[in-house]
Amino acid sequence: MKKWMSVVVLFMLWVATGTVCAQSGVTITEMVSQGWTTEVDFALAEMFTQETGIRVDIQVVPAAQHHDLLKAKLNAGEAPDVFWIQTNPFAIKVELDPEKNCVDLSNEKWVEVMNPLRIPSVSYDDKVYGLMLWHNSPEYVFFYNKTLFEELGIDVPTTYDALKEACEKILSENITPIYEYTSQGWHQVLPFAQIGGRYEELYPGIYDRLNNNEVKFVDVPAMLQALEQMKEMADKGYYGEDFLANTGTTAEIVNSLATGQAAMTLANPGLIKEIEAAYPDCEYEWGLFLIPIIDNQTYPFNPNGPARFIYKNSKNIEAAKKYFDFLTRKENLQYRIDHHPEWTNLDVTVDIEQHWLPMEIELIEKIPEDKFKLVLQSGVKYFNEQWMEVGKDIEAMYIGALEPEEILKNVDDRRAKIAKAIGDPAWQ
Amino acid sequence: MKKTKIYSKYFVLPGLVLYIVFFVVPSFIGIYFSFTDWNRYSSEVKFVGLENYRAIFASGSNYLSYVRNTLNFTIISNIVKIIPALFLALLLSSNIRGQNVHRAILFFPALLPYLVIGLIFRSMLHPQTGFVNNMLRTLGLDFMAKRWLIDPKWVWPSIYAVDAWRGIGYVMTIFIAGLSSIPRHYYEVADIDGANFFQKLIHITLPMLKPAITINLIFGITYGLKVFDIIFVLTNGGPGRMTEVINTAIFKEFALGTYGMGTALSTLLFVFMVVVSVLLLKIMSKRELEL
Repeated sequence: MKKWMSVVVLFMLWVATGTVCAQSGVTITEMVSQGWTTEVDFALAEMFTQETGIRVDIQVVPAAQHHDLLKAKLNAGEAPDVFWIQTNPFAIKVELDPEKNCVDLSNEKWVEVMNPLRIPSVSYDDKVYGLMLWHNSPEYVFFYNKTLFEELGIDVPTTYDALKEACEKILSENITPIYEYTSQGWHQVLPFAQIGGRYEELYPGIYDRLNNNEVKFVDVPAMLQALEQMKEMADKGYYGEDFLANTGTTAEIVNSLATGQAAMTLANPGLIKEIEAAYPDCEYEWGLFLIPIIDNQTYPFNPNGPARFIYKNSKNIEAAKKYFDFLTRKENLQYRIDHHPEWTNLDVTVDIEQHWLPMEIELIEKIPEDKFKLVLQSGVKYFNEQWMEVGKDIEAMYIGALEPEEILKNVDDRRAKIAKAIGDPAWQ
Repeated sequence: MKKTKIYSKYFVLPGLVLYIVFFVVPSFIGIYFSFTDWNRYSSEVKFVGLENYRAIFASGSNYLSYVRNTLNFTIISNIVKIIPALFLALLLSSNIRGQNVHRAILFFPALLPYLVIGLIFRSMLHPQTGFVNNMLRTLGLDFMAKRWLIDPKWVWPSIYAVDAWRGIGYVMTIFIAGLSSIPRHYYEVADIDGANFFQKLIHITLPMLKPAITINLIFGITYGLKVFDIIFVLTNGGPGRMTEVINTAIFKEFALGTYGMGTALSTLLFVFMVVVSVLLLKIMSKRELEL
């Protein structure tokens, strides 16, 4: 009898130990692009591990490689448990094929935590597939050195000519007017795409006509002009002589601005937090202004951003769901915005304390309501999908290997290729 | 007398089956898909004949420049590695002091992962803050400071230089192995006849080194045609598309989901490698037999 009892006790111990080990042995892999993650994600992942015993292995991929690598992994059927990608309602099918690759998260409680304007970007066919926790700051406008502008008597430029004049004055002081970088593959596309509202303003209904294939990019003179102006800025040295070697890391951007080597850059307002953290003695004041290429004065409204998805073939779907639950709890949302090195706000429906900057409010309050316009990548089909390819083309334009018109033709060709493959009736 | 046991030929079957299932069949399927428009946007796969190949070889196409870049890389990277490696091998086989240490130092870069090499050299070759330009400026050689990885004129030479830094030690090691197998008395006889260094090099060393040269050429050419890592980590095909090669293009086609084009490029690469390797083996083995 005693012998049997010992066997039973031993068996129960073995089962119990095995269960604990199995729980604590779960590791979720999460793949994210370098520019989208900060130490706050690692801190939250660690807190999640402490609470649940589930480890989160965050794999940070250089921005220039993340998109291609993730797509290659998805296409090969070897994606990580959780992955990040930037989508929009037009792109989600092409970018992700969510029915095949993503777990349907429509019934998760946290769906209502997201701003309803953001939900279409992570949805397909009335099902929610992603979790977008992103900020609502003015996105990629000119972040500039207010002190320097005042010293040189430069007014905030509202036209392209005024921007050129400002750049000339700054350049004459041996300061790089604009810190620009192409090495990450995506940043150089922003001046062209963030002013999408201006195209719409100049040619009302242009987004619809582009989406219905009634007009092509190459037929839009303002788009050609925008690229020509970007090329002119590079040729005139406004980006600096060696801007193609700029790495675009936060440290380098912050260093260039805070030490007065560069006067402006296209960035989010949260950059000021990075500058204050890295250079607490920096006495410059900072401000924001809209991208005045082709005299644009529209505000780049973009309800889309990078979002997390759970891979359908993952073995850790339940653990990943727990992770998403954890990230969207009120105290963790508050933790995120309190500790994020760049963000000033979080676009969620939960009542948390936001940290808007005065310069953000100053910019937003100045802009008339009718100037809030959807950016190109969120308003026009089959553009976001080729963002990195357009980046390559723009870089080629900067070195003189491609003409602005060729870039637009390439965009049209790639749009047609995707549209035909999908079977878009407008391209048949 | 010891008997030689002959095993049944059926013993080869498991290996043969694995080879056919995992290599031959996928290769032929891949070749078939290169004639289709297979992509991830559509479940229908249409046969398009030579359309993908026509797109690759169309005049002015980006793909054609990637093929050209790959062939140029294959030729030039071998020249810049094999010739210096041969002389280094000769130097380090001539009983100089500390030759084993020098051999180890020269071989060491071959052990480093490409990612590490890419990160180090991208930083070293930065036009403003990089070690190379800073050193040149310190030495008063400002005119030699270049925009190494961003200037279209200098980007390829920079890649060749980094590739040579990594690969010379490996090529040299194969040459050293080849040199050690040359009988010493050939040189002793040549010395008696009054032959100088170059005469010995031309008439003894190089002919006797042909197997090592063949190996280095085959390794070098297949490496050159398949090159991916060093380009990916140093320039990612840039600036623009100046340094894209076939394999970086294949990677991007698969990422874009245009599998048909990706497999067409892979097939093309496969054909190049087969043709070049077979030709090279025939030429070199014929010469080796003549010896």
